[in-house]
Amino acid sequence: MTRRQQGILTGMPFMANVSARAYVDDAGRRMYFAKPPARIVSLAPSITEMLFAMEAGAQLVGVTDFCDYPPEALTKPKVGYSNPNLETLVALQPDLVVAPHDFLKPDVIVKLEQLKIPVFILADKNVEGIFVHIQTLGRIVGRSAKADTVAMQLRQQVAAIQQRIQGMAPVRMLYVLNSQPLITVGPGSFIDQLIRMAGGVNVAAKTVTPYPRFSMESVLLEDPEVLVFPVGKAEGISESEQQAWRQWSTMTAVKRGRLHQISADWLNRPGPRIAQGLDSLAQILHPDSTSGSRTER
Amino acid sequence: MTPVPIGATGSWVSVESSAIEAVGLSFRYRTTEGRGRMWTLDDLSFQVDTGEILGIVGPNGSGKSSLLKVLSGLLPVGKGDVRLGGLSLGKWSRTDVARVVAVVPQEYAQVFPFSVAETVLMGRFPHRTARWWSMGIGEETANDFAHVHQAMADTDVLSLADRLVSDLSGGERQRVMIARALAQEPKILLLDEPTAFLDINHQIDICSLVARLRAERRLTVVLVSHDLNVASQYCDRVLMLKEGGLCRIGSPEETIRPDVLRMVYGCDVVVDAHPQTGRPRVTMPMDTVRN
Amino acid sequence: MADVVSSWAQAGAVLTVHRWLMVIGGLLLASAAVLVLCLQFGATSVGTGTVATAIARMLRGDEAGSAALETSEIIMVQIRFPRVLMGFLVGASLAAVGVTLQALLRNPLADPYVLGVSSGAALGVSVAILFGVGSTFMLLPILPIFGFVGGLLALLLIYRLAQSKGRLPIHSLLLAGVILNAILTAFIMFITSIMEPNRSAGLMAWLMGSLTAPGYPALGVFLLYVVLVLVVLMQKAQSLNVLTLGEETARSLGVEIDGVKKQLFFLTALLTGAIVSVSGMIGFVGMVVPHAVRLLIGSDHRLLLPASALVGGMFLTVADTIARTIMAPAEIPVGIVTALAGGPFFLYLLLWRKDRML
Repeated sequence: MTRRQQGILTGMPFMANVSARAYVDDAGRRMYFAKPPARIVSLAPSITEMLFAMEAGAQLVGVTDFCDYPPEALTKPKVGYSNPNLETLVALQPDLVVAPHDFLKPDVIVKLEQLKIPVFILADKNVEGIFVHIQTLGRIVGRSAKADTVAMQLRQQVAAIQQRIQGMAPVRMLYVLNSQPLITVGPGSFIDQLIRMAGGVNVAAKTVTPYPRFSMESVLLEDPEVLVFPVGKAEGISESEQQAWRQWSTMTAVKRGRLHQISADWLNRPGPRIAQGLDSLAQILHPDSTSGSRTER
Repeated sequence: MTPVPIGATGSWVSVESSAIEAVGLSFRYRTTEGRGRMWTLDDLSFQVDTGEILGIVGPNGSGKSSLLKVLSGLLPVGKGDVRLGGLSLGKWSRTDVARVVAVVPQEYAQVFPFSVAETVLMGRFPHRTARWWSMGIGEETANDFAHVHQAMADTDVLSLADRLVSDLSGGERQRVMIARALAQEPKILLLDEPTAFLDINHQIDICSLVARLRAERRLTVVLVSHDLNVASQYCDRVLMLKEGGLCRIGSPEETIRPDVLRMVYGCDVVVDAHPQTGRPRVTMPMDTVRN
Repeated sequence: MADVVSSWAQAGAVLTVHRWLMVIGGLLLASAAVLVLCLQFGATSVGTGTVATAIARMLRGDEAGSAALETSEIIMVQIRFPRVLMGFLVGASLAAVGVTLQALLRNPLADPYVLGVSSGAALGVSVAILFGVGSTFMLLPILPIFGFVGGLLALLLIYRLAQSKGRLPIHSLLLAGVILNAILTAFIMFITSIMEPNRSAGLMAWLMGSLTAPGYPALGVFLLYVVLVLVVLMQKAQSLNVLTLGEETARSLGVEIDGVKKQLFFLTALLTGAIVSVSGMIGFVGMVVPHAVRLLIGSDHRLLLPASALVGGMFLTVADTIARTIMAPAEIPVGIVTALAGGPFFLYLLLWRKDRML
């Protein structure tokens, strides 16, 4: 399929290609690549995963401290995360730095521009945007064939998931981002979107900020049917904190024992594994829906 | 007779002639150890007779204020002893000392707004009967109020009773502090530079007040002053300190003399007699211009 | 003599039993009213009707039938009531510590966090969050325990630093507190910097100060602790009065300065450590409430201390009610409300009433 046909299929406007080798990133910055960059630094775990997925791992010369998937990423030199070490970064002599819009200290971008190092910024707005990013990156690094394949597969996976839960009643759930104080996801956040796509209803849907502190009273009143706790190596909610939720014996989720864990990496990283996250979430919410293979945590 | 510190009896039992006695008293601040002058106060021995007004004078840094604080027990004795009513100060409890000795500090910077009456009432603190379960509310007895009232009357601040101390002038504040000291029912009153920072009219007020109080209440007064004339006019005896050592003690005529002053202050002054009292009066000489 | 004396005594120049009873009685009534009122408000529209039935059920010991308890009753009993009560206790403690420290340090700018114990407690909690330790230990929540231990260690450290030859010089205390605050805060910042961003956001949210509904065992322990310390503090009220005259004058009046200072330091530090362990750092209550109350009823600590505690309790309860209702169902950190309420008031005090404040 040509690029144009793919674009029509997804219904998303092109933002990335304006001419053969010029690209515009999500911050509206335009850049030109005469040839695919050979030394890339990734400043987000999701970006690292994307690059490895399109088999551009060899071109990756620097990653963040939290880039741990795939395992090969661990062998790459580290440059930090939200406050990357500029010296280390520059010493790697990158000809492209791919950076996330959030979590990054603002002056890093300015500094890199001063040093004439091209920075391509990706801002995650929605799931489809991830796939577009994959394709765009694929074009930039010269792996468009593989990138397009990956994007297509992911789109198919997502479509399959949505098909699977089609017609099922949405399930009320609460995503516990932090216990003390209680912080959850609200409209405007990525995970809130995923909840809806997975056939759930976020009990915090009436809040206005993406990561609100939520009142326990409202939780009880909204009575979620499922509680989801993110877990991971460097983050997540501990076992005993999850157990502490069992005290709310009138909550539907507790009564039915629907306290679930989900890999934090899958949902937090707007990268290729988002489909896995979505699948996992859908299985948690609608365990009766027939699924393909049970994905592991 | 063995003197007994103030206890339940509430009276000054000892009838020795000396109210305070310093015996070989030496003192130094911990920070001056091994630095320059060894002792802030060096081997002082003297006594303050009951009912007298003793003035402590000397140049800056001679240890005047330190001496006053050691005499009242605010600073610890280094060597020697201080005796109150014949009994060593170390054997007195702080509360008992507070019931006998009242100290009026040089100045009072009030941090929080208290009324004059409240401030003077704090002078009754050493006389309270502390009950561990109460906060001390309403424990002031009629006796307490009587003393406070009398103290305010004596110092003429009664009309200011409900005013904030911070709203008062320097002289009025000083009188309030004296009233607070009087509320303690002391036998001995120690004043640190009572006339510093005061206008001449207030100085006169304070000095005559102290003299009057000594007569009316039969107090023993020790006052520190840098003003030689105040010491001369209002004190029975004057103690001249020089670099922590006792240079001279005696009547104003014996101590405030040009030769003594030259020895202590290292300068020449004119000493004549006050036209009204005949006491020594110190004035600066004409030829003070030095090249 | 009696009638002449009573003239200035009755004129309010000094504290009388009558005035004490009137003020404290009035504040107690107001506190009760505020508590009941704040129970009305919350993210959900549970109201007094529920309060009554919930209390009735509770009193009848309906634990066996707890499954039959309605959600709204659970909200009231398990969430709102403990939280409102906790808010009152924390506010009262903060104000009481503020009053005591302002007298002890003879500084109107003193607040509970100047001692440095608070950053020790915050560091304890940060470490607990960093290592993801569990949630409860023997019915008591773990985070506050870590916080309390951290606060204790900081307390001992400050004491060792500040004391010299059995005495506790005030300037040393202040200095040690400032230094320890700086160092421990640096550690806390370090911890947030190495944490994964989501986790560190959670930690920062906790540090900003928040009141969460504790379980009843924990609430009981906290209540007992606070009441105990406050009662002991009240005993020292008269000494606090005399302390404001200056250390030397206080000593000359018979106050055992060294002992009293140490006791006051330990009491306030223990209380501050406990407060920060459960609620993070809620600002302004400890500094502004004492000034406001002092402005209204004077500086006599026998009245000022309990009155400030009650006003502080009411203030924080109301502030927390606003914090948990204004953006419902979301909440904003209560420290924001106290700062927005306390800040302008403090400004007013500074601009128009500083003669009465100092």
